[in-house]
Amino acid sequence: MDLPDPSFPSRRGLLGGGVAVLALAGLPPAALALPSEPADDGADRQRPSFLSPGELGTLRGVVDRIVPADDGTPGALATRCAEAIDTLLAAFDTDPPRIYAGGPFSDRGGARRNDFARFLPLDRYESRAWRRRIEGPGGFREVYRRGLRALAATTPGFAALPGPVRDLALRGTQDAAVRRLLDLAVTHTLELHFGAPEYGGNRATAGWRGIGFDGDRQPRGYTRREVERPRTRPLPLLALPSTPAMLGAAAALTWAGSDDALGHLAGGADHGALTALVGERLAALPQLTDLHARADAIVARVRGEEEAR
Amino acid sequence: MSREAVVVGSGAAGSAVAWELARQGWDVTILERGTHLRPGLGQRPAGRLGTTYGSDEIKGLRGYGFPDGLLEPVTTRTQAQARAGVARSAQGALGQLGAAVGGTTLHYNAKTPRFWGQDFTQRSDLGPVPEAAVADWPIDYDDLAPFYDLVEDRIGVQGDRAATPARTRAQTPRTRDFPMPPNPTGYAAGLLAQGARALGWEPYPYPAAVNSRPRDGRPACNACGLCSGFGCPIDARGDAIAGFLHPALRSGRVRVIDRAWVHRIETTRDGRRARAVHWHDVDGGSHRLAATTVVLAGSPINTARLLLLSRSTAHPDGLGNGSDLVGRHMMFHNFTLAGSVFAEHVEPLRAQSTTLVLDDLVGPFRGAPVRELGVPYVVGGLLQVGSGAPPIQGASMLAAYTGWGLALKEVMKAGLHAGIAGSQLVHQDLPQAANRVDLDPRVRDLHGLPAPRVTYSPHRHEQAAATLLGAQLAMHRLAPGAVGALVLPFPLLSDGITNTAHLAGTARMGTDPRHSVCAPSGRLHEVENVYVADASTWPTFPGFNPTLTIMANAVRIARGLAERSAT
Repeated sequence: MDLPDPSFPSRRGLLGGGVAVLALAGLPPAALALPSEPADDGADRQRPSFLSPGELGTLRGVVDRIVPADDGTPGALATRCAEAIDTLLAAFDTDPPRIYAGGPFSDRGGARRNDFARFLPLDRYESRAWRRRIEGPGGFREVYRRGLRALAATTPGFAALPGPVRDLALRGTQDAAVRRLLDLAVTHTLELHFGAPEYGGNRATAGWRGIGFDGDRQPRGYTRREVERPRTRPLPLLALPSTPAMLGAAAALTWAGSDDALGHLAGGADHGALTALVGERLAALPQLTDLHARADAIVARVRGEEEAR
Repeated sequence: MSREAVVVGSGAAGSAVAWELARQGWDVTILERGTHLRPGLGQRPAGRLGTTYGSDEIKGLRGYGFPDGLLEPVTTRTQAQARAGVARSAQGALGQLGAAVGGTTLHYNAKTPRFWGQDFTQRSDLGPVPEAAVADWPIDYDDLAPFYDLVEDRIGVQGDRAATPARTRAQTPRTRDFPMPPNPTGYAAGLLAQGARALGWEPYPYPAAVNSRPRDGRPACNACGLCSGFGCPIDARGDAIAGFLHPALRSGRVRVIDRAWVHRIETTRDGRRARAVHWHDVDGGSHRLAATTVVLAGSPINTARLLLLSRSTAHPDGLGNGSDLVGRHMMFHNFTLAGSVFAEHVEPLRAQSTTLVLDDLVGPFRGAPVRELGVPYVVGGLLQVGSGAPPIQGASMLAAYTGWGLALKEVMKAGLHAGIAGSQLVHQDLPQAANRVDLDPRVRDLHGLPAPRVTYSPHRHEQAAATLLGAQLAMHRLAPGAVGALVLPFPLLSDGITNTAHLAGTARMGTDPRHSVCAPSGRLHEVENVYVADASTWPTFPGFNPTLTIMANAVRIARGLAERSAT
């Protein structure tokens, strides 16, 4: 396959990271481990494909950093997000094109048949839009092909480099084609790692299980007891004290839950960038200090009243 | 007079109009730019429709049931950019509203509060606001009340009158209880409600067009929690199709032509009557459909655009636009969002979404703290209590803060499907003449026609409301077990359009043709047989989810049209 044996990172590859190599000092040994190769299966060999084996190898090295494996939970490499992106780029090689999974039910929530597995035919409007989005000028194919080639050219042996070196190559890139690739690959990797497995990623629902998400539950749904008295469980001890401040804008944006439309901006390809913009504005906002002071006063008052009782 | 109408748009407003007109014996053709997503529509018995939707988040993110930004771009800019001569600062899918037979109701969250009595007389009650065009409605709550009853019954609304605060009952008098009792309250929403009660607030079951028990052949909601942005896979949610369009089609008097883009209303030479609508199909083919009555129900941006595209010698600035008000007073609900952060998995998605609501922030608020913020009063809106977000939405948002990589993955384990439960304050947006839809001078749609351009910035009032009311969302720190809280006041964050699927304005109704586009009947002041039946007609935009009122007002307008024609 396209990645080298994980136990023998090549010296050439390491040096290829240039400046990045310097940053390796001080990293724990585990951080150097290269991704292990997920098992292939028959379905993969027959899936439609656009990228060359070399390009796909580079892309695998990218998605592996967007959602890395950690203790016990697989990352986007193992959930096959690179292959799923490649399949999206070849969506029109199959009929119907692999854009919209069918409905209403997968077989994960009590249905006998998996409707998601049969993709929906597109009408002429949808076809026209999605062909342009994938195959047109500036479309997905062009962004991936140019970006992956640029990445391979600017960081020789990218896919063979240790994870932290690849991180540095991606985060520090000055190449516009690589940046465009990364913007799109982040969006697609998150989509495919955390979306229904019928789109090719989230293999064996490992993406969902890794974050404690139940996945699609219809037609079974939940019982009244499961709704009103769920079995709560402690969450992993991430740095919770710092989390609220850090999550501020991002988390709250997401609760547009009931009325959200952000995901559809720019055809669903650019919501991350939009949120980043909002985050910058939030950080620079003078009124927030005032708002926080007012909020603190309210909490202090209520807590004071409770203590007085 | 001929009892025949052409309706533009098949969503909440258009379906309600078609149903009422058909009931009165009219023949109706609906033209809809979206396509059919519900197998069996108009053919199978009620409750037996298929669906192509599922609990599939990717499908929604890929714009299933939405207009495509590549083919039907919307352009936007802020008021400041407009003053500086910037033609547009963004272009693409505005993403606010869907395009499908049945409209946005196919994937809406189905929350159905009524507007309050005070909302219809805001200008008289509270006085003017500088740089805003606040106006009384030409109708009042009592005019809409029977239609609220009708719509709640048609789409099947759950709620609990006895649990509703006295203030809310006084503002929304009802002759009968809700058609169905509420769904069970989610655990996380219950925790947030305890925080709210610590402040003396009164959370109660959120009226929603969701079956809590089997009704009209459709099943009860089973609390999968994937509602907004998702089509309901089990058809437990009441919508324009179940309540209006399907029975209207079954009457045999109504037909829908899908993938039909109406781009011009043709009038008689003197401009006083419409006689046809012109539309394109997906391949660019041109069609003309003769019409004796035209009802516009395509939602505010599209309705304004169509009127502006229909300019003629008799209507040089757009159909019915002698007042220069067509497209103006575009209003969006801005939101202030907040949430409680928990150290345990509280299953925020496990419930009929957002099962609780509270009205304590509706207002109006006056007095010194408000005046210090530079506005004469603050009106807020309802607070939707207790929701989560599915994982892609959560991940793509959190990625902007953690960056991609391991940090994001770790944060996701405690994310918006797990350890964070949120609320949304629906801010009233005051109307401003400078917030408007016009035709983009350069950007075109798939048929070569000018894209709608939206110029928008929130009013100072919205920012004052976000500061004053956003602070009170400190309530989220008072939920039992909360280790932190978050507040995100959109009106303070952005001087442009923020994320909301709630739109109103652009063709306000009133009695004076100099200050309004439509009569209280919905009829254009300047054209005898063209009506506007969607939220374009609203003079103000109270802080409540709009769909119930869109439907109620649409039925009211259609009934008035039919009754006047009968005499």
